[in-house]
Amino acid sequence: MPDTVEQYDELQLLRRAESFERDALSEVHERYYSDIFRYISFRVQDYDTTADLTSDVFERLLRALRDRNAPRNTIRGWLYGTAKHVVQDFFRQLQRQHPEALSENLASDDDLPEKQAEQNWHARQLNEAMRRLTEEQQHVLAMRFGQGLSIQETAAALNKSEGSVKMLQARAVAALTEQLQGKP
Amino acid sequence: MMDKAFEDKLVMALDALERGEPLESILAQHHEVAGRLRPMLEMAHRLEQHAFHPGTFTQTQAHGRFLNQAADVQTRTAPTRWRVGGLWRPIFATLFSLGMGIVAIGFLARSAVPGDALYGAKQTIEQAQLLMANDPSAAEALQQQLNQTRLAEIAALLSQRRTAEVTFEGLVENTAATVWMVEGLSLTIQPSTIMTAPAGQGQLVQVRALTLDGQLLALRITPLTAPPAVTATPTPTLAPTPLATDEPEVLVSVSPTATPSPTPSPTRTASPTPTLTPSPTATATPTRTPTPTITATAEPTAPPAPTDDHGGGDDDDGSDDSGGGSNSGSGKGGGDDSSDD
Repeated sequence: MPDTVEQYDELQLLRRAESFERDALSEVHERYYSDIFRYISFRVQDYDTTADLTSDVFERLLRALRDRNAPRNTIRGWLYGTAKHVVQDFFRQLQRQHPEALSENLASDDDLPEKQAEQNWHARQLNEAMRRLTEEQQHVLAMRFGQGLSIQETAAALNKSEGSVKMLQARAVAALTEQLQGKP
Repeated sequence: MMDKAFEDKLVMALDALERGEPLESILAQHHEVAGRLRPMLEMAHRLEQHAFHPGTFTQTQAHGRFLNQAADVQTRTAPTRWRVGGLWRPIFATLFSLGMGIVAIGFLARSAVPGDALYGAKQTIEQAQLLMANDPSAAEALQQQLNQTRLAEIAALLSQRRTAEVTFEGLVENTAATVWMVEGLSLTIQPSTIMTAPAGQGQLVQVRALTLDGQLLALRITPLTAPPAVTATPTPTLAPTPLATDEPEVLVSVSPTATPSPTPSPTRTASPTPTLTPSPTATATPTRTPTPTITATAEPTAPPAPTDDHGGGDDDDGSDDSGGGSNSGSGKGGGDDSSDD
């Protein structure tokens, strides 16, 4: 049973989406596209790739709704979990096809203005450091800083206590800082 | 590696940063570790800028594509695993469960003995196996196997000292006083035991009995074969083995002077068993004892001619004689020895 009005509302939306009601599906996309996009961009750091992977997440939702594998109670939690897997698959595939790509920028800096190239370089360093974190730490950082979810929301989505999420976040931030220390 | 005290301070500092407190104010509160905290809080601030926001055009385009996909996905056929839908799904699920249940019961029933709840299931499965046997020889082999199973069940009941009514078939091996030996089992004959016909040593009988306190008490004994006509002592090598008990053997005494009357055909004899057909070595024994395993499937109108009775021992191609398919051939075995008299 839903505990809050928001949960009830989401459950109603889910039921309508299961029937492939066009309005409901449209609302699902409008409500969650931006969050999922930000989550993925935080980890992938490439705009076009992020757009493709986000579309992939929503297409999987459609197939799940059709095949009755859809989320039982929450669309949001299901989308986060799927986004996480989609990003993992992306990096796994990238590693298999282009092992060197992970240590290089996804886009070439050659034609960019100096300032943007420098920003890209910093982002790339951060990205590389981030990929050395545990999968769980990356997931928490993407939810907290990518999507901007609160500690409470992140804890609910991950089915963890707020204390655990805070600890995971603190350790991830400390590990990233230590990895990048000494670098501009 | 962070120590616990520092980790707690970092958690508190990150909380404060999220609440919107200025960085310098947070560092002042934790001045003793401010040097370590600063780059970490700056990292947290940097992480907030790390994600992109989708542009309006991207979002609009994605939205339209999503709705088109929805229409497409909805009309596309579901994967095979869900193609069985609607009313058929519960039917298939029920059939599947039923099948699994039958398999499970069959597995558990394998070790059931009379008196067990699953023994009926075991018997049903055995009957089904017999019905499905595709040729007579396979059915015969299966029947022999089932008889052995019955004997094993009785042995198990006796060793567990359980009480149950059992039925089995076997060869009477010994009829001493009140305890008979039937197919290796000690069968206690009681005053109340019903004998449908006189039975004796060497006869195949069907026994209905009760296992009680480790004893096998005979309730009813039904002979399945006629009593031996001649008390000939078979040579040890030709003694019927327990496995041969399902093939009734009618012992025929053949003497050169007597015309054997047509012997009633035993109902259970399908064909002579090659292993029990006199072999050349058997006919060469000097004891001249009639071999006991002559299957009386010879045509009644063809009395054995003593002068022609030269069995395997004189035969050059004894292997041909050993073939059970030839009625006359099997009839010659005993005659051969007799003619030597």
